[in-house]
Amino acid sequence: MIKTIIGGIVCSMFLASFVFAHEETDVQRTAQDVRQNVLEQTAKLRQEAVDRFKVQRQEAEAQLRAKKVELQDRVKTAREEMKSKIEAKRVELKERLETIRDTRKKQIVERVYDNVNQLNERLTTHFTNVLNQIAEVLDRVKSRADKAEANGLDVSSARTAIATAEGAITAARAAIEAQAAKTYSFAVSTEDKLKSDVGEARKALHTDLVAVRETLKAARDAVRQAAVALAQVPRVDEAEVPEEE
Amino acid sequence: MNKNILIGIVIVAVILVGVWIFLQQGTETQQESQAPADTTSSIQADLDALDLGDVDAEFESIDQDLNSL
Repeated sequence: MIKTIIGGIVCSMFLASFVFAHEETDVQRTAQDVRQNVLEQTAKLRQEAVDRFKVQRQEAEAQLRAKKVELQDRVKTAREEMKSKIEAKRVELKERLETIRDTRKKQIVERVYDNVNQLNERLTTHFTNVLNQIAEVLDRVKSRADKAEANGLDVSSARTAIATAEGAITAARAAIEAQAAKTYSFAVSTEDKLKSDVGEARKALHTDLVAVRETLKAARDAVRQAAVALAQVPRVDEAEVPEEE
Repeated sequence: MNKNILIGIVIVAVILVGVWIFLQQGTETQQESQAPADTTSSIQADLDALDLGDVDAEFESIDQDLNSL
């Protein structure tokens, strides 16, 4: 009797261990499936983020190139239009200077007229180049932000600063274009007022150029703010996106 | 004769070592230059290096002429 009971218990234990072992295998298989699904989903999301990053970068680079060429073309067109105006006003100035007896002073006034207009051309060219450099730096800020975002980092505050910087660059671009379209001439009255007459044009050019420089400074500072906002994102410089994935 | 061959082998070996060192340095330089240019530190450095221009300095010659009127 006892032997039969013990035999029954041993058989039950044997069957139970077989059933549990089978259930354990099922649980392991389910866990493996879940893990596989999570890995696949993660890889899919990562690939989507990388694809989005690549599209954003291509669009940003194309936009940057287009705006660079657009500004250079507009400044060039404005300058071409100004050349004939500057020449016409030069002839007018020569006529007005006929009332001035001092030849040396006449030559100085003509030279200052040329220098004032040449300086405007030189500095607007310089400002155009600097603004293009600022825009390129902002593009790198955007590139870093895109990489960080593709790696799951929160760059919302940097995005706001980037938008502000883009606005500042647009304002500077408009200021440069307007400046490139300006000419400066002198209202020559009498010989004793030559210095103040020429000084008026000099002052006007100086004021205008300083104002344009201020818009550039504002654009640079806004890009700096965007870079600072981006630098506050933890481990932002470590975020990379592989070329091919 | 044997001595000349030995000298030749040494010269070739020295040249090969020199070429190898040169190529190694080139690879290192290339690797350094391939570092991402959009790190926040390099962006800040480029912003600091921007030259907006000195408007007042550009007016020096014009002001000299003006003062002589």
